[in-house]
Amino acid sequence: MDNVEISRRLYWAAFVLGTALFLLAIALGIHESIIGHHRLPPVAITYWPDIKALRDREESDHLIAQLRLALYLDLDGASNRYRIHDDLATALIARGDSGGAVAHGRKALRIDPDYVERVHTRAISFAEMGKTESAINHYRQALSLDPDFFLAHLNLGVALASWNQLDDAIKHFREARRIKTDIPEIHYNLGLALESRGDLEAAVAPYRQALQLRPDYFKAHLKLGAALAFLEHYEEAVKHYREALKLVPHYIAAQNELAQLYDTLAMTYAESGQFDTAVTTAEQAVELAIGANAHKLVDEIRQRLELYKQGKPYSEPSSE
Amino acid sequence: MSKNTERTPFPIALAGRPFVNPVFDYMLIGGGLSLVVVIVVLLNPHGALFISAATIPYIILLSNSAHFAASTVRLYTKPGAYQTMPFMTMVLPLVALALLTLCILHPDTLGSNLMSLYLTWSPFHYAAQAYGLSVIYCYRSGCSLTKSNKKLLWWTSMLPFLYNFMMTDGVGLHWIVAPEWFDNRGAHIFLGLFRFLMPAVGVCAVVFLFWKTWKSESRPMPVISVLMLISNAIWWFVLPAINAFMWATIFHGIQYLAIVIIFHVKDQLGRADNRRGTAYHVLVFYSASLALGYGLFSCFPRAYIYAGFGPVESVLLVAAAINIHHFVVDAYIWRLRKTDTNRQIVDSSAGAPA
Repeated sequence: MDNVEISRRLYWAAFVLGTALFLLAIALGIHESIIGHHRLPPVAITYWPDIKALRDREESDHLIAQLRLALYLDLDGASNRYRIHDDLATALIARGDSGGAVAHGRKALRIDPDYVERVHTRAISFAEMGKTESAINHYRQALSLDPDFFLAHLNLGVALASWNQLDDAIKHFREARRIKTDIPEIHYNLGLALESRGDLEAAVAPYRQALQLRPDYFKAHLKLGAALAFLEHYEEAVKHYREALKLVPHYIAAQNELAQLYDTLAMTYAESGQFDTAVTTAEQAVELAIGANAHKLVDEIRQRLELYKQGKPYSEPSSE
Repeated sequence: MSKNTERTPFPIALAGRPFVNPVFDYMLIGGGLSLVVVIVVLLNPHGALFISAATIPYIILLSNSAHFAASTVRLYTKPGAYQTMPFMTMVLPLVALALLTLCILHPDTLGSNLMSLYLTWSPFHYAAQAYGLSVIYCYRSGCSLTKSNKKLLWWTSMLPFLYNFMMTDGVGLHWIVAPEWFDNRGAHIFLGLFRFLMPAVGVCAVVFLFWKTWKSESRPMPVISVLMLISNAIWWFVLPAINAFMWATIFHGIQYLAIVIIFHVKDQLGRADNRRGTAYHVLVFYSASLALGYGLFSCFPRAYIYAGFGPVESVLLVAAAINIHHFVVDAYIWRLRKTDTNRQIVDSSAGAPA
């Protein structure tokens, strides 16, 4: 067999193989179009006008395909590349594809150094609109792009806590505290999350840290006061309630809680035979309860006050 | 060529000797229809009449897809193609398939370069087609271009390609060189001037070419040749890049289908064993091109999707590979060597049924 014949045979073999593969591909393509669920992206050059409509209609799969098409074609320069990466990241977040979202987020970040801030701002907007899930996903996206973004840790913790995902929330508050130690809100929210999880003793320390950083942190005084009262550290609890009421004098809830606290204290004094102190404390409780318009509480304390004046302690009525 | 010059009366030489009839040639091959549609598009940028997001895919299937397939149909139906172009007919499809698969396997590296190559090559291909058709009409109409006029025609045809090469993001120069090259004042000024001046240069070059051939040739350059150059220039200069890629391909497709069918039909009618009429050959060729076009653009990408590749990569890279295959095939099937049947068709008299 000469060289010409060998070449001829090779050519024919390539032709037969190429044709067979092409026909097989066409057959598979027809099969896929019948059984498959994929919607083919429109012909490349017709992509652009569709994107806005798709975004408006929230057809995420089709939108993602179109955006990837636009990115792939790369006909519109860097300014649009940023927008497309951003749109893609947002669409992928909505679809739950966090890996893809982060990949496109990183590309957007390379074009615009403020990109993480923008994602964070978007997350806050979602949170304000009550779209907590979207907010959480965007905070997570921001943190994937910048793990040391303490504000995103803090806000993500708040969002997670509102969804009762307390362990996760505590993790993010602690991470925020690790990155930035001097933000009172971080300590306060950590205390809240710990308290919500039922770990009241652990909550006291963060509340104290919040107050060290900001002594006029009204809510921290209240929460710390309540926690200390629950832990029966009444004297210190009173101090924090008093501080809170100094900051917001007519805060009814605080007045009410402090009235109850004084009432409890008065009962304790009476039980230990310190009736004079019990009377003084109960009178303060009455005054606060009147200020809080808690009429039922006023009546109850006054009944107990009468007992103290007679040198008798108050005993809880039997449940029978 | 002197034979044609002697035969062609001046008015016919000026209008251009048509393959079918003046209206058909001017509207479809010359690109006259495209100018009408360009005006409609510019006046109604958000879609008008038959042009809408719903109708565009059908227009693309009937024109673009069929035209890309038509070069393959032409390749395999051209008399003696297997003997004269064995690599093109037998090996290239397998090579193309292998390269395409490789690119789909590596879409971000190889794939994106394949896309850029296709988008860079497209305007060149259309410019070369405008040049080729202009030469064919010059030749048929008795305008035997001198070497210098031919060179001028070539460069005039290439101006829209050069414009696209320099100006379109991700294509041509912007694909080849690093983006930092354009990130300075000098480059901005140069590209700004280029954008501003090139459309004017494009029009002036056509006028100068026409004037020069009028003066230096025994017969003027036919107006249909001028129209082809103008049409291609308008597609790329007037329409923004993304529209240009769409409309240029649609009208290039119509132009291509018209001329390829003429050549195919003349080949088939010239066969000794032919027993069919013109309509039959037109219908069979177009139907085959349409069916293959549908298979190539609508079914073929799905095979890759079926195999687990992303739909975007599959659709785009298949389209890019088909385009590039078409560009390569075209460079061979339109040769006008003296022994080629193409030459006999170009030489044939006007008004023959197509």
